[in-house]
Amino acid sequence: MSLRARLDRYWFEPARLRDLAWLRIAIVLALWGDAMWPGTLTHQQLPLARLPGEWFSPLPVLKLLMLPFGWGARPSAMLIVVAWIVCGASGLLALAGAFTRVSLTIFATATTFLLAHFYSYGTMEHPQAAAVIVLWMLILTPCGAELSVDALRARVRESRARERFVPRDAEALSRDARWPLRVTQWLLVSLYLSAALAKLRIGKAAWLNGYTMQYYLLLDGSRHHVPLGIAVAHVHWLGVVAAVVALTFELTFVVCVLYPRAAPAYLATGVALHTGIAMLMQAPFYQLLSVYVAFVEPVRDEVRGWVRAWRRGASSERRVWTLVYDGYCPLCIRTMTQLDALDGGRVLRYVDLEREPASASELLPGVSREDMREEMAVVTPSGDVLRGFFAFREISKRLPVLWVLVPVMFAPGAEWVGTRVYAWVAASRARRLCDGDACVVPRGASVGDAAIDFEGRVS
Amino acid sequence: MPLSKVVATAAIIGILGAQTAIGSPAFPSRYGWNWPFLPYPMYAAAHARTDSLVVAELRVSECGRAMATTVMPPESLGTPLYQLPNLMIAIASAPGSHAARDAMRKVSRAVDAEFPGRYCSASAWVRTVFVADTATYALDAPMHRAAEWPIRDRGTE
Repeated sequence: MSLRARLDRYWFEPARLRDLAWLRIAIVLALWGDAMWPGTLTHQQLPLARLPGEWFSPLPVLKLLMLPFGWGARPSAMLIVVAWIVCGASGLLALAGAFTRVSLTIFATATTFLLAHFYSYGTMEHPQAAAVIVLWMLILTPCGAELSVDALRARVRESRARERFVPRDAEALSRDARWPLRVTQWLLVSLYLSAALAKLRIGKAAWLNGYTMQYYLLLDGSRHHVPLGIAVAHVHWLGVVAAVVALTFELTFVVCVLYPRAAPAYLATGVALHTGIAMLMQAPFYQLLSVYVAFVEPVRDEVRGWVRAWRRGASSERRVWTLVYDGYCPLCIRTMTQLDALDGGRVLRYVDLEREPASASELLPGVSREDMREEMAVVTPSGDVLRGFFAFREISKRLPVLWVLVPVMFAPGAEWVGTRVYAWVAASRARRLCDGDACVVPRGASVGDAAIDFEGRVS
Repeated sequence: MPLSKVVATAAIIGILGAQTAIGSPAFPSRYGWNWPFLPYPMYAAAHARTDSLVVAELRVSECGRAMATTVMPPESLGTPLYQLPNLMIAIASAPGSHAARDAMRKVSRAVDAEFPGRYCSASAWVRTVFVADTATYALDAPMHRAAEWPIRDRGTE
């Protein structure tokens, strides 16, 4: 294979779009959290804006963003508040993947503006830098094609046009998902190597003597009043161990890119190191940790291998919950499409009672098709059948995205309200008797009579 | 629609090339011009046993109450977290120097901008801490005043 073909394969081999979407979520969440953290606006950004002009030393990136107001112009407090509000709103949209490319672009601009302003007063910190680079890169990528409102809307549109629900059969792949993940991995390698080489060049072997680490623990511990950091600074051997681990980790981080099976060990070490730095030296780097999500693929493969090895001998059968739904009901089709999109763990299976009547009867023995049409049913792995509100409650327990609803659904009175709301929606929903391109549209009957309305609206 | 491979390749080379070049020791260092592409030389200097570090703080006195001083942390003043201690150290190390006078003026104006007319004098207080084998020396030693200057006079210069 030629070098060009190898490079092409390395950078553009199809990867899971879902992995790229996780990177989007992690990066946006970290930077959004950084900007929206209580006090960031009122205790950091706005006091800086009040400092005398001699403190202001704008970064070039801020000068660029402020260009409409003049080269080197200083942002007013009002502009900072506006940018903060825009950052908050666009960050939420980017997180949810709504109008992803536009919302990511606005969020990247607003968060860059706020950070550049923060660092335009003579102090530079590093935690957000890599995440900001990745954020801008993500704008070029299809990171909103999965785990997003955009993807959900596209799938619902597709189901509506097809007039039936077809579960996704495999993970969506794209060559445009591979290169951003690889760039992010190599970006981490580059910055860790930069840190390690600086220590070797400036501090040389003496950096590992333990006193260096004690010095920095003392420096930050006394500066930020961290008693734990100052206490640890008293233990010389801990300083030696911490220095050796940190330098080895930074120097050899490239191993987890070249040999992906090492990724879990390296990332766990990285998380431990940064957590230690945050606790002892008050230098939180959680924004940098969000960049670790670029390793989701090797970590997942490795963890799955461990799980398989652990389960060897035990039953390897997957536990699956089967939904029996009315395939001629537009509302049901939309709901199934949405559940399928939210089912990251693939724990749900779907049976259309109109197109797969034999499977439906096998799952729900003794239940007539008329009865099946009345309410959605869920058959658990143990064979229990739950219907209507109780079926939906069971599903919400199985899909992590819906866990937020579980307390509400188990609250006192929830069954009384839930069963009635479900019955009302089920009785009001429309049906279209369609299969492929042909539709039979009986009018004027109830759900129980198997036909109702045409337009697919709740009437 | 898939992104053109040419654009993707340009992004790959641009991002990794910029970070690698800026992160390398050979690249000229100039404050923040290349943000968010940064070198990572933090905590790179080595230290030895008996090395010392200076813990510094700014204290201010209200007008008419020159004897009573209040510690002014960076959060109260709204300055970047690390910059105020560094300015204090610069003032304390050579109070009569030009750099120290500049730092005094800068700090005075910041105090006056945040608390107009309230404080009339400022002082830099320091404590030296030593690094040792199993303990740190003078960690709780009292701070001493290294420099004092009026705020109002300099603040209104």
